[in-house]
Amino acid sequence: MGEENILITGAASGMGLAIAQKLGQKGRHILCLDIDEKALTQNCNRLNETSGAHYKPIACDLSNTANLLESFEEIPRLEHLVHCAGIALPDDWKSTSDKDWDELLHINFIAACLVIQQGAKILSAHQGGNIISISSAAAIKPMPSQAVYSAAKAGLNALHKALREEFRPHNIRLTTINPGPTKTNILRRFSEDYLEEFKVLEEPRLAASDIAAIVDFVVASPSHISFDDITLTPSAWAWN
Amino acid sequence: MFSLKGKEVLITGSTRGLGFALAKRCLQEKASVTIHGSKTKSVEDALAKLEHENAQGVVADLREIQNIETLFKEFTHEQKPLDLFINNAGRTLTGYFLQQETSDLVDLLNLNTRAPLLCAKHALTLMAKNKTGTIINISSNAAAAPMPLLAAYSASKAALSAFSKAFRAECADEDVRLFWIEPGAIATGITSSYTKEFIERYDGNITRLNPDDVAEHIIHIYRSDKLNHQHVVFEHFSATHKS
Repeated sequence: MGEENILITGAASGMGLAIAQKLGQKGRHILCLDIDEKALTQNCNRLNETSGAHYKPIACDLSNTANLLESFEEIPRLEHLVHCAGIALPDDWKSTSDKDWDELLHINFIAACLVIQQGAKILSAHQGGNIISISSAAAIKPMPSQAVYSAAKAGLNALHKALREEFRPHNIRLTTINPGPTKTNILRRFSEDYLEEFKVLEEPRLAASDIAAIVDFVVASPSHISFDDITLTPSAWAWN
Repeated sequence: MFSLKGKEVLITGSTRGLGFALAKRCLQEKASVTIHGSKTKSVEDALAKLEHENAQGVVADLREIQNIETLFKEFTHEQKPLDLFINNAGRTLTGYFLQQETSDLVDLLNLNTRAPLLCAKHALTLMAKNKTGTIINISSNAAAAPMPLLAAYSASKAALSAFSKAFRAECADEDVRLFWIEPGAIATGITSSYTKEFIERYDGNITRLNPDDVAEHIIHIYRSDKLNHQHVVFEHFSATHKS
């Protein structure tokens, strides 16, 4: 295998950063996209010193469609796209505004659809590759008081499923990874009361590195295998 | 049995197709019906066709968030309750996903997902005051079985169905019923824009449901007080036999 170009969205923290780190092997060009330019640059600098891969930061606000399209125009070639960027908000109807729901839907669903479209255009211009989206167990089992988040993730999974046939001739494999509760800082916009009421922080939870290991496995797997949908939850978590 | 007699009903996207059939059916049941469309002319034409003293209309482009708020404000300015809200407005987009314009994709996702989610939130806000009401979301059978060459549409409807499943519990806390319908293709204006590759992919033989039949079915489900429907998936009889 020659040089590999990998785009990771949401790469400045949490799962995206863990994935960027895990995939850092010699000969890889890893494009790290995130809205948080400062953390992104720091992480890319650090990873460039400590790993064999070459990391390049792309500062981009995915909620701004023009910004999203511009960022993709500057990417000449890709072998893998790992779409990880996402946010979480408390979205029960009583305590949230229309704007909160809009923000959640825009980043987790509308931007995700556009990232996949723009990424697939670049992949299909060469020899194809992987599109891996970090979705959520909420896509499989929609959660009360997370109805909008669940909707966005279920929509993302349906998009992957519907695209499989169209993308096959382009040699693009589509994977959704659906983790259960994971230790990242995605819940920073939740109040303590909320986290307690819905037991969101209750252990056991997965680690960001658990998800990174799955992505690494999918990226390294032979191209005759398609990992359509991978759901992983903490073994001790009762969810069905 | 739940009765529609004297109830206040609001149906989005009801100037034609399934929405219009639902409006007609609700008027037959002696409900007061507010129809909705994105253009003044289409709302006026639909009202003329309905020709009913209990029918009124509102115009709003639901792709804009602020118009959703306005729609519900306009509906409630006479202090009337909202008894039944049907989230029906939507559009389609067939063809290769890679060839679709960004603006079309954003439009579709805003109209088919963002708008019905926000509308459901506003409807629940009104219904929670009276601790009664029903919300019906019109999704699609493409939600459960996402379709090639209909990818963004399938995604938009899968999002609406998943939302419905989770939001249902929040509605139940306020004694509001919510259910969602996943019908197959309906013979309405929405199907006339199908692209060539879409028609070829599906054998040029897309069986379409009659909107009046679907409306009848939905009203039947609404009236039922013994069977609590969560969601209902159905398709044309001949389509069922082919697959």
